[in-house]
Amino acid sequence: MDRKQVLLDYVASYPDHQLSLLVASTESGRMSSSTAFTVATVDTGHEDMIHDAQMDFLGTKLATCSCDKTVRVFDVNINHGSQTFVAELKGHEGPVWQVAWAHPRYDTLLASCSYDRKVIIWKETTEIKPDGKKVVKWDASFVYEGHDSSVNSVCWAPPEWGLMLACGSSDSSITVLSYVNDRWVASKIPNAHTLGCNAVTWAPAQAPSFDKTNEVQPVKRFASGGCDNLVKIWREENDQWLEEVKLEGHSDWVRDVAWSPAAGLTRMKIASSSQDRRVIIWTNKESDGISWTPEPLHVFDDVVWHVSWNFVGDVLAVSGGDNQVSLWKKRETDSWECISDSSKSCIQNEQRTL
Amino acid sequence: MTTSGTSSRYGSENFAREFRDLQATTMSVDRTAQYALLAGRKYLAVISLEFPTADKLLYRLAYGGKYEISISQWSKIENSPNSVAIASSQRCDIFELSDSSELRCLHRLKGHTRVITDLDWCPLQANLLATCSFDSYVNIWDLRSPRIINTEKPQFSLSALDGASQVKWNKVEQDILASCDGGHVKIWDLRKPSSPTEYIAAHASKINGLEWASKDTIITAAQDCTVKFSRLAANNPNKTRGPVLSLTAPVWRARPAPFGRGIVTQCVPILRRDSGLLSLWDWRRFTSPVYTFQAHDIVEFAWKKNESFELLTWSRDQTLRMWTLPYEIVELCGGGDGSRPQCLLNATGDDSALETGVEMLDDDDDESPSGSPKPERPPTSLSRHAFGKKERSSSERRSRKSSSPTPLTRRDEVLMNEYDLISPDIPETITFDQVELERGLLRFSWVGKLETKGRSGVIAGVLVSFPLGYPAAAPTFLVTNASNEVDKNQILKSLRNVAQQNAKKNETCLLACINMFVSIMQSIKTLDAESASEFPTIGVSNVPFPRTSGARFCSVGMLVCFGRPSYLRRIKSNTDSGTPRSLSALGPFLSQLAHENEDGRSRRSRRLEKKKANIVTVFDVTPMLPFNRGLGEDYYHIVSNPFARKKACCENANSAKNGKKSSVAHTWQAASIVADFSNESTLNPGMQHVHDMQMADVDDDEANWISYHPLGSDLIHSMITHYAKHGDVQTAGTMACLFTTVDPSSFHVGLGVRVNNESHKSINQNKHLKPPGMGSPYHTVHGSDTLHGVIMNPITDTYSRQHRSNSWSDSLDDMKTLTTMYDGLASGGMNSGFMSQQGGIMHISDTSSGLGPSNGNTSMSSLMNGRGSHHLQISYSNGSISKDLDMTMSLSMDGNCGSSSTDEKPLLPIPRGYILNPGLNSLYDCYKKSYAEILYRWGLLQQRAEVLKTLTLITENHMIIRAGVDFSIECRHCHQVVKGPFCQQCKRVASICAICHLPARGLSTFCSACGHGGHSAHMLSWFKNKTMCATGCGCHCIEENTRVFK
Repeated sequence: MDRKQVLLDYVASYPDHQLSLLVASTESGRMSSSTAFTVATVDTGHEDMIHDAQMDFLGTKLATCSCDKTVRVFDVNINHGSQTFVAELKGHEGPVWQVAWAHPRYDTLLASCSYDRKVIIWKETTEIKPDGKKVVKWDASFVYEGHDSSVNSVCWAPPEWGLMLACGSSDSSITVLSYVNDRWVASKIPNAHTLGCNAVTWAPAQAPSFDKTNEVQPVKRFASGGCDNLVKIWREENDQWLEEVKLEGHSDWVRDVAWSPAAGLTRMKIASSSQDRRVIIWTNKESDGISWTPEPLHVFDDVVWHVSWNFVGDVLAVSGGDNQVSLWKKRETDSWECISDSSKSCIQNEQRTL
Repeated sequence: MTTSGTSSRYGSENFAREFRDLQATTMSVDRTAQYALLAGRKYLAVISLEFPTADKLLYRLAYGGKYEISISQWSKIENSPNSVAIASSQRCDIFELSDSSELRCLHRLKGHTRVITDLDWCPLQANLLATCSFDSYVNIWDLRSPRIINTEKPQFSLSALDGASQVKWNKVEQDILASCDGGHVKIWDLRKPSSPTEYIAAHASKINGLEWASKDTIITAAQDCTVKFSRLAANNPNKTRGPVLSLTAPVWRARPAPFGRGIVTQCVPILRRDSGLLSLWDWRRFTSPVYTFQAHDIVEFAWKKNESFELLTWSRDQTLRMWTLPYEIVELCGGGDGSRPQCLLNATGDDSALETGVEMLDDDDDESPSGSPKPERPPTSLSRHAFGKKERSSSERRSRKSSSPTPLTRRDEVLMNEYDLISPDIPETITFDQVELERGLLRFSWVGKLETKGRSGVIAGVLVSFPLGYPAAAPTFLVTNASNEVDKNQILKSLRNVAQQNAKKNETCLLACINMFVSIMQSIKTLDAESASEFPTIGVSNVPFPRTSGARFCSVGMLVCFGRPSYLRRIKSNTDSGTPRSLSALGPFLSQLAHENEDGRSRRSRRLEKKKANIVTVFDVTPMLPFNRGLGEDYYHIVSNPFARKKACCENANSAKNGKKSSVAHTWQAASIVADFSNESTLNPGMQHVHDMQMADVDDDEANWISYHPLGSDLIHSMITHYAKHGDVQTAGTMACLFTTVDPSSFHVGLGVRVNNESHKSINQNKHLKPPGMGSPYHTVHGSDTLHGVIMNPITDTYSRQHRSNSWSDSLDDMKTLTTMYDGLASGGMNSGFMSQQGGIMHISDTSSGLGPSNGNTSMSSLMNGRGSHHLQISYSNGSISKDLDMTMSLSMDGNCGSSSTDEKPLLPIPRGYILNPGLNSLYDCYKKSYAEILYRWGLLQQRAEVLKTLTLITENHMIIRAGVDFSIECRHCHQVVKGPFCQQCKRVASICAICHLPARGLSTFCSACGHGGHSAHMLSWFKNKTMCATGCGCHCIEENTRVFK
């Protein structure tokens, strides 16, 4: 049977922000259809470089943070292409590195971390004025100042665990903040990564259970990457965070780690990107959280700063120092394929390096 | 005591000489303090400093450099050529001063690619020179090595990652040197040049000056207006922080003075005010400077010793000045002890006096110096015998004669004097709790100011007992009432050290001890304050380089991208090794940012603003996903009874078709047939009559024939897992929902179908006939030309499969057969149509080769003939999907729970009334939850609720995060808390509608602020255009309710 893949091909190129989707059937050798993605362009008005941008769970709010020490929140409706500036959150005294939205189950909370060693949790409050007008206010609801150096990454735990935030800092420690009895309680992992922790990511709460009968006791886990070139996985046991496993594979600082979401997925996967220009996919074949098999994705031309899984966990967005974004999808043939670049060079490169 | 130390004195110079034409930017004094080199862009000049010819210009060399001289330094080793290193821009020249006072250029070191910021001669090796530069390298040059002559390459290059601003050799160990960049100090060991042996995060902002105070102590002067003493962690693992000197202006340099405990600081001039002055401090007393030099715009300073200590300064007004330091000042700094040999020093020279001066910092060992006298008696001893005559030390000269009539021991006398003397100098934060000098006891404590945040301040007290031998014997200490933050051992150790040092010199130590204590306590406080207020403004090397572009998947199908605008393609340092890894690479850029406001350099950002640099693009990439929101809206997720399944499936198929998901539509069609099939079998027992061999009651558990049918439960299961595997959580989840039997008993009761037991009996029989694992199931085909006979066979097969779950080869063969069959039968049209639809999702391997027709052939064809084209499709999808399933399942068996566990826990047969195996419920629940999450993010809350309703295992993870809100009803008549609808006391209905004044039965709504409310319908209509409560209680219900939950 002559079987051809339907090729998703789209171009994400900067700085022109052009992104078009071409669905091409290689079987027929012609484009069968061509769809352009809906695009909303938000002029953030930041006075300096943007370091992170995230949308909330419902895909309606956009938060951006920048070197200009502010976080800005926008309402974005991608279908109507409308966007409104909501608030500028001022409180950090240094460049803000990352933002993270909490699950809407816990009100509208946004965490941000900065070079000024602070983690701020912002809360949106809506007040209805007597005249029926809604007033949206953003306030810092909690400021965590327990780190001694720049805080590089924040990540909310899956909502099942309650309000819980992991923060990785350059002072080599990781703090897990949890909201218990109306108070934020910090549990610190000192010396998690020598020289500093650069990224944290939580494991999904509902790992698909293939065990037919037993309900496995869910385990709280998160992964972190740091300047010691390691990815580490941490597990909670008796209210303490233990280093479960250490993944060695990178030859330079690990810049980002991303745990793939659980939706429809069969196995636990972690993507890690590094200063060594490589992205590695770590797969946990045994589902025990301990034995992880590395699989190099690709060697890029420049430092890889970001890795991000899509909701289903089958496409990985990779971006880095070269200002390029590429999307990677695993094919049934078990190789990772770049589905974003218009040129085929990316794929060829991959083959060369593999 | 005439110089109590609190007053600062201002010195004035004893001579000044202007060298206007030299335009020198640096000065350095050679090791003998005979010559000073004044170096500028135009000239190099050697000035004699010897008295008879003082300030005479000995030699002038036209240098004619293009760049300013950034730094110059004479070599420090005696008995070696008197060479001087001069750095300008990227180059460092080595000159030698000949006997005829002429400068001769020996070497040109051109190893740096950017401006050299500092250089330092090794104080122990005449030929070693260290230079550091903005190019992030610290180069070590060995001037003797041929390498330097031939290649002009350094001996070592230490990669500091960050442009180092200062470099200094250790004065004791020749392999150790320190460099600083930003707020960090790096310690290098040349035996291990690959990476620094230690990082010291000394300051939050840029370090301007770095000096070794001793073997393992570093003095750093920084932009944050402090001078800090840091000790190497290698030698002092616990106590790396020393005292902190806080000034009012950023500090440019802090260098140990060549005597006692003196430290000279130079501030960065701010707005031409006096802060650029040079001050001399006693490092034990950081409250006020000991001496201040009335000098302005100092470029460089150095020490020279004649009869007294003299300070040489070169200032921007091109004047060389010499300041003589009064002897008592030297003494105040602990350097007045004439017995100690003093050597001549230049500004960066080393000194044994210096070593002792900061001895206390070094001294971490517990054992006291051998010569130190121990307390002779228990401190509480009241014995008053006279103390033997002792040579008076300098400190004793200060003591006044006591007027007390009581004959005192020498200890008491000394103590009382000392106490009187120091009382005015005691900082406010110290109180004396207990003064029993005649018993040799003194207790003082630190009363930290109460912090505003309500935290109690740090407190600690020290009980000092002075032995009779005091001051020759050191007192003992006891730390009392210390709060948690206080490191008692640290205090004890430090105090003991101070005391012992003084005791060695036979000096009183109370004041020194108190000062030590104060500085320790202050450092605790400053640590606290530091974390709260200070923030770094300068990059440090372990903070990762900021990400300036990125892409993140958010929500369900959003891709948020941001990047650098095109005109800012690359902000990179000169090192072309790609994007730097650490933020410190942005050093100059960042500092510009940080000082933007001060320096008025906001032009840059304004430019950025104008060009609209910062655009975030949000892509809706849902088309990439195998599911979409439209289908989520349209799908039926839940059925009220199993007979509605077929309709729901058909509707879903239509929705899928309309949503351009034809492959999914086919699947739904297939599912609808299974649904139909199962209902048919339940409703229409006649169909099974064919198999009725015996009429007997069969156990209900085994009486679910649809579960054994390959086109029954298995098909549904394989479809669900297939879609889940390919990420189509929507289809998988919806199907799992539709085919979940919530409460099978209700169906049985409602339908009363016991008839179909007949069919199960036959299965049962088959089961007994063919125990699992006994060869091909096709042997059981008994002359079956009927449709149901065909169905029987796979049933048995499937059944046996249940019991040997890890050997599915038979069934796989079976499925392959089906596919082969299909390939053989279906010709062209059907094939391509279906395949191209499925192709995007499924990977279908070519199975047609190598598989001959099997004995399932006839049965399949009969099935197809019997059921028509629909069933053709089913069989096909079944075949292909099952194959996929087999892969999925075997993988998941291997990968997820291990085949062994599967062996241990074989699946139970599916009980009657179920289509999906309840044993797999946790798996299905996973899909449902994932899908529910998607629906939630799409805002399809109703659909989400429907999906969640079908969850079989409710794992109550609604963890108690916040205290729950409890609602209780209070009877409006007797005000009792009512449980249930009626008040226990007055027997009236507890809740009355505020609108109709009737008991609020049915759905009712109440204000959580005032508690009024009633029928939901009434409330809705009331509040449509009103905000106040209907009862007239004055509650603004709409507003208030937003405030209740916060």
